Amino acid sequence: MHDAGKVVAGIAVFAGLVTAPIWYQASVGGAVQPLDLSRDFPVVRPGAPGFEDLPADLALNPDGTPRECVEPTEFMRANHMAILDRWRDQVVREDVHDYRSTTGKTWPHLKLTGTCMKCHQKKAEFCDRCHDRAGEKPYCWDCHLDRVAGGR
Amino acid sequence: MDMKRRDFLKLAGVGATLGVGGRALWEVVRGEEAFASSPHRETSEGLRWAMVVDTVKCAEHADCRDCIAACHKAHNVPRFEDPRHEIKWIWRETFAGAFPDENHVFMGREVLSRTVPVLCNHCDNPPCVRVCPTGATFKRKKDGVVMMDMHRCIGCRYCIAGCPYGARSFNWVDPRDHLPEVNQDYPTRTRGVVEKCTFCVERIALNPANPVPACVEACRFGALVFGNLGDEASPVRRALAGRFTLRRKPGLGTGPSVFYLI
Repeated sequence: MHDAGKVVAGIAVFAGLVTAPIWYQASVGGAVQPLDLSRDFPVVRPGAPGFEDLPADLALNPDGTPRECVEPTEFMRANHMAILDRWRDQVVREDVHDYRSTTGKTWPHLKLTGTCMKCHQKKAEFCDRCHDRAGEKPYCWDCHLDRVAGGR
Repeated sequence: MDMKRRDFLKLAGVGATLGVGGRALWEVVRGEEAFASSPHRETSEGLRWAMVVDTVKCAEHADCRDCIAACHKAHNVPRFEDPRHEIKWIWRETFAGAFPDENHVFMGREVLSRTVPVLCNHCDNPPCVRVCPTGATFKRKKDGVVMMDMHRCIGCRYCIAGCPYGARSFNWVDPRDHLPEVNQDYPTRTRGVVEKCTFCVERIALNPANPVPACVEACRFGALVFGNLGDEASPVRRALAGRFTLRRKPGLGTGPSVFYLI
């Protein structure tokens, strides 16, 4: 092989550049820490972190029971993007404003701000933490407001 | 296969003719009108939301901007000093500007001096819908409202070119920086989308039987009336039955759902 030294050196430089993110991560932070999802209080129940910060009327239903999410937590973690994608077509294009959940309950008057953010008030903690980690940049908030009327 | 070049070309010609004109031919044979040339026909049946504007009452209060203020506040419509960036859902227009084909120099000064509120006409045959390449703007089959789906708008502005009423505005800059106050119950828009009046679909959804748009609610003088064009007993039909009305640029065949009592 001609110029074997240059070729091998070139391959070594190339491999080093391609794997740079791994070297960089290993040198600065060590292993990536998993997200602490216990902090994202999918349903704001009494005793959950952040519950004390919520206005009483937002943390509880009018009859005093804790607020309930439209779907169970695990379902929402896996499928919220599909649900929201369906909702927006349903509400804007088909004029259907109710959602029938897998638990059999029907939720009226769907809104991103008015329904989701009514309980999940801290967008930075609830939405952005995972999205930032995953490199997701949903453009919901270009138009939709992250504060519900009467919220903080 | 044994076919002469000449016969092949004849057959190809017949095939191409049928391919291009086949549908029109079939419709003529079946006694329907050919789709490309059929004129649009409005019917007086079914649910169709419409608005009637009393230009006499409006002219009596030429400085009133209540409907505009209420609409723009309810829908987070930004305010710009630079007219090139202006966003408007409902605004005041001169009589000659609103009705370019219905005025002449000998017309009474009082009529010519009227300024009338203009907005999206929610046309029965909307040109904006026809030109939209993504389906972002569409006409609701159930009630005739011409809607915008901001999620699908790519900002091409074909609809602005297609609308003969100037009812559509483009967001050249981020509107959030130019909101005098924010209504938390309604989204804003983002840079690069087109927007217009929606006949308050959010209110129609909450009160489908008897919706009252924000502008109609805000009018202190009863100059704006909203209702179902398909119902003879509705307020709009009663207003239309009693007095002479104009629609904007009727010759274009768009079939506006906004009427002006003269």
